[in-house]
Amino acid sequence: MKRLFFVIFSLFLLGGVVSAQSSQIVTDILNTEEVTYGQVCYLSAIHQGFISEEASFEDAVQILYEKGHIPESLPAITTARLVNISYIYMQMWPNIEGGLLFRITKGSPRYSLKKLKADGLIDDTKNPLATISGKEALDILTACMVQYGDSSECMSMDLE
Amino acid sequence: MKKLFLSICLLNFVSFSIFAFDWGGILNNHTQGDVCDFFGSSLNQSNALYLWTQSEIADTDLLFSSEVMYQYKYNLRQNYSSFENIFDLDLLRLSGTLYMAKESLDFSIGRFFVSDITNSIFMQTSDGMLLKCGVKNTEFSLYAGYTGLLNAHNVAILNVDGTIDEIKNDFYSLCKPYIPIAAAVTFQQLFLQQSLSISANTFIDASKNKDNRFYATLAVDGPVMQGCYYDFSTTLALYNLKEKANYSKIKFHVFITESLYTSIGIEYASGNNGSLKPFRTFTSKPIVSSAAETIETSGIILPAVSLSKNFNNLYASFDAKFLLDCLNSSVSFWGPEVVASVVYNAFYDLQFCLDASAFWDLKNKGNLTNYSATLKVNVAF
Repeated sequence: MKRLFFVIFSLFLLGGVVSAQSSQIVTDILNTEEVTYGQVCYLSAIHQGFISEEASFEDAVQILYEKGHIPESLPAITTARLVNISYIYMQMWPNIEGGLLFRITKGSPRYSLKKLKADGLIDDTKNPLATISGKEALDILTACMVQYGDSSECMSMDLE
Repeated sequence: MKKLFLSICLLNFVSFSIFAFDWGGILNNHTQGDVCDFFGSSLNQSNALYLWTQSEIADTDLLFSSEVMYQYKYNLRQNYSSFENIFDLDLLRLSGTLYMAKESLDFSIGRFFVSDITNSIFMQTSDGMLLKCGVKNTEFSLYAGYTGLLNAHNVAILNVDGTIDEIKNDFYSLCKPYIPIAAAVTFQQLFLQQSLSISANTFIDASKNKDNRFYATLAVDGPVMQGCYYDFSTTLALYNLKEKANYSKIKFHVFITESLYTSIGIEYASGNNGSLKPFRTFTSKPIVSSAAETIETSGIILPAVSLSKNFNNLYASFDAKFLLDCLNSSVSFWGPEVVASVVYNAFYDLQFCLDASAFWDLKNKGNLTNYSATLKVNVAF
């Protein structure tokens, strides 16, 4: 039997209802060629329940800064680099056990990216300073949810 | 303090938009103890630091890679010790792809690791240019380089008489100057999923010695049945277009389960056998790892078996080799070698490796008999 993880991107689906605004935000992110700091912070913040669906990208950056998930409140329109995105995502699951340098640096951006590469969630050849599309950012987040999240964060089903 | 560190990391990366840059390194420890009846016991301690960088040049497909290394080697024997420092730039490469109509051409220029199709004759760092292109199931490659600027501490080039020149200077000592030129063509899945490769490697001696060498290789590989593969190659070597030598090998690889692998094979490197002369690789290639002195791939027949098993973070392997001497017209048993190895990946960036090996010299009154234990630790950062 093949076990196939079928992950519904459940940022908004946990409540069972997807509003028109949240659908539009996800569509916008999917269509983004270079994902921004604000968009990544929004995905993280809404998944953790820090903000409502109506919140702005600026609100998402501010709340993550206040929660200590990011060290600096950068403008939301700043293009996000892969190393930033990795760090923001890894803050969502604080109990992840990484490698030696990840532990020593307490999950610094550089070693957050290396952890995601080591777990096969990001292509090993990707440069830390690379920019990625909104779709790639969502793909990585989905992979993180499957890898590190619990059953409430993603759904799975078995197929014959 | 942590916040400041993270701010620097993030802000640097955000503002660094001219080109994508990455760096990293490996810190390595190698501790080896040897017990040898003839040469006495010895302890070898070595530590190395490798630092690499990689830059994607903006708006192009070009990639610039570099690596520098420092290593010291300390050898302690009874009444004798030695200390060697090595500093090397072992990677300095500009690589990219040129697109032409339907095909593409991959190129690399600079200093980088190259190897021939046998992975035995020419396997070292070299300065030069490599071109590769593929047309349907056929792949072509062409390499031209120069060895005279390499560090002899780090690259061992074998003389045609089987010796290696003595290194005089510390840190950096230039290798003998050769101009290696290699051309290879591989036909992938030519018949019954079998691949055929043909290569020619020439090494033109740029010094006064005129120690020119030419190697022509035919190689075939492919599946025998499900889970079983083989590779075979035979090489004709010509030294100064006069003396002929041969190097042939065949190996079968069997994947018993997903994590259990075994192989069996045999290598032959000619000695003074009929019209053949002793075979010499270009890059030094010891045929066994634990003999008290280096035994090069020359005048030998070597049947070998290997078994390895993967357990999550642990990898264990056992190798046995049975060395036969055919340097002269007769064949005699030289001795067996066994190597047991365990590799433990504590984390993805911390690895421990423990080897225990022994070589029994049954030919030279046990002079090269040696028992060895090695601990290696690698930290990637």
